[in-house]
Amino acid sequence: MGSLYRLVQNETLKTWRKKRFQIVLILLTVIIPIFTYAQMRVVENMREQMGTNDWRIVVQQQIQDYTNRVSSPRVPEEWKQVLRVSIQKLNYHLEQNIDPARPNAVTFTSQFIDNAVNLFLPLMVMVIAADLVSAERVSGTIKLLLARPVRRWKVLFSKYIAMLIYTSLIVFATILLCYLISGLAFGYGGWLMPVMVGFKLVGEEVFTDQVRVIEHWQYLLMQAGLVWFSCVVVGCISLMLSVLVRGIAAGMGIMLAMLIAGTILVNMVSAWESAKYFFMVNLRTTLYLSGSMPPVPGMTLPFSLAVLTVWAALSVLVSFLVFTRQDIYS
Amino acid sequence: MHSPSSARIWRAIAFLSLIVFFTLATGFVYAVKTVVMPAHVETSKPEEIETEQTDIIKAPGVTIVTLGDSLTKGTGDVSGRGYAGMVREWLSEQLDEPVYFIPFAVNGYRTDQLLQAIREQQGLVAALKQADLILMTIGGNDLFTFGEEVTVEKARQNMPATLNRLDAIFAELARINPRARILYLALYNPFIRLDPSGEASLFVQQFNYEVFRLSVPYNTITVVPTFDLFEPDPAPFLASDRFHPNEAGYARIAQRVTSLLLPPGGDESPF
Repeated sequence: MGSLYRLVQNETLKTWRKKRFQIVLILLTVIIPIFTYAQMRVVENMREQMGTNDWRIVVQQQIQDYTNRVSSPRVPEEWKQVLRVSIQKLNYHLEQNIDPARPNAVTFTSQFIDNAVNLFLPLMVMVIAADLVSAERVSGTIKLLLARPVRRWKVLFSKYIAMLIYTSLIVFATILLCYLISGLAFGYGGWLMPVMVGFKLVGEEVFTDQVRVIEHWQYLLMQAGLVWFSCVVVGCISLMLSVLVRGIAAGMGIMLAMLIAGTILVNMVSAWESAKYFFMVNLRTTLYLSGSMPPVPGMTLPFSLAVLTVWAALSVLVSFLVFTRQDIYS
Repeated sequence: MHSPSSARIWRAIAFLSLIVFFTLATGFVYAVKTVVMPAHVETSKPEEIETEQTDIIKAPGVTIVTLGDSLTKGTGDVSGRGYAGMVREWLSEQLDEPVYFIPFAVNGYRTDQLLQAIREQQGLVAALKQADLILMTIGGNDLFTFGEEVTVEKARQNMPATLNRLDAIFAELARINPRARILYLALYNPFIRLDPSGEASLFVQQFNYEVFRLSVPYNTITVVPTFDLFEPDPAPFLASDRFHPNEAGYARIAQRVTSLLLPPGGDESPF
């Protein structure tokens, strides 16, 4: 047990010294202000165009706009499904007199991690996880590591714990920085704002009989939990690639290709049902919380979590099998 | 083996990540519970929730709200503006104050849908309350179903009910905003060429007359004729569907609307 603790400590500090986490923090502090500014422009444009900030007018106008798009023959059917679901939800917000998107630091953070979970956050996780093993192989330090009197599985296990530590910290840092930076523009309030959860989707029909009103901090906590889970799965797969693929660039490249393929697939898979078994199509589990249209109709939260868990479990299994058996050449 | 500073970094990371780990894991479990069994999630009491927006502002300026069907939406205009968008552009050139534009027209809207919207959609009501100028077209889709065979006989049957609902719409609009100028753009006949006996044209004008009758009690409502704008040959002013106006057709309508808004000389705002 003591040796494992030492190993984890060692791995965590090694990653810290590689300054990868610090790079992630810098990336976040560069990216978030850009999105904050974009969001600010959206709010300002709306005000400039409509001359009011009454959310009911803005939402009602949005509904009308979606309705027109649904009736347009040029809009593809998949988008129409998404729009029809959005229309029903927006209408319900108006009925209940609950603003779906009042601009403040909490809603911004919420929106940001919602959109970041498909690509941006997995990339950040990948930056840290994708070379945990392969970098040691490239630099040759793996021989020193394995020459110690510890079991090989413990070495890999400590790397998994380090990955878990940094993935958790990345999600935390993203939320913290989002809140702090966007608060400068939108104000730091919004923790107690009402949010609705429990929209049930059957086909395109939105059922509201189980809708509950919660406060926004609860919503953000749940989102963070789901986003974190997706990130951990990405971390597991990245780590497996770093065991399997010898080059750092090759491992990162493979992961990057899969993630980007995922973002493209999400927009076009509704016709290809078996695409729902890809992990990348299931990363955005937060959409079940908001009751949005999933990439493939009929997908549910338990389904997505099951797919992600299977991918992660297989990755862990494969990486342990390979790592404990493979020969280490220079 | 490690320097003292490394030990401190490790302790900080371990401590922080432990807290974060359990917080996020809690959030995850909570989220799964909420999505899978929403009925069991504890919720705040409705009376404790603050939903009223307290910081509503109405910026100084002129607000245009558009209502009704595809003609006001601008269907057929490749520039996407329609007469309403053109009126808005013209008005922003004329006035020193900003001009705001809140479009609410929906393709295919009928009087029953518009009436229901005005009665039930609080966002629309809020917008109407802010309006200085309301531009609208409605009724065409009640009388003639686009895509189906157009017969005057059928349209005539639909007329009384349509007018009843239009009467109610006028009343609601005047009640919601007794101050705003309301311009109702009357119907034109896109099928003049197919109507040598003039039966359809007579019917359209009869409908327009009835609408005018309904508008008389309200001094804020003006029925704006468009029939003559598409005479004698509507073809150059119609889009490829031979029903909606094209850009030139909308420009003609816009011209008529702007002439109503022109002040009697001088730079005074028409509002």
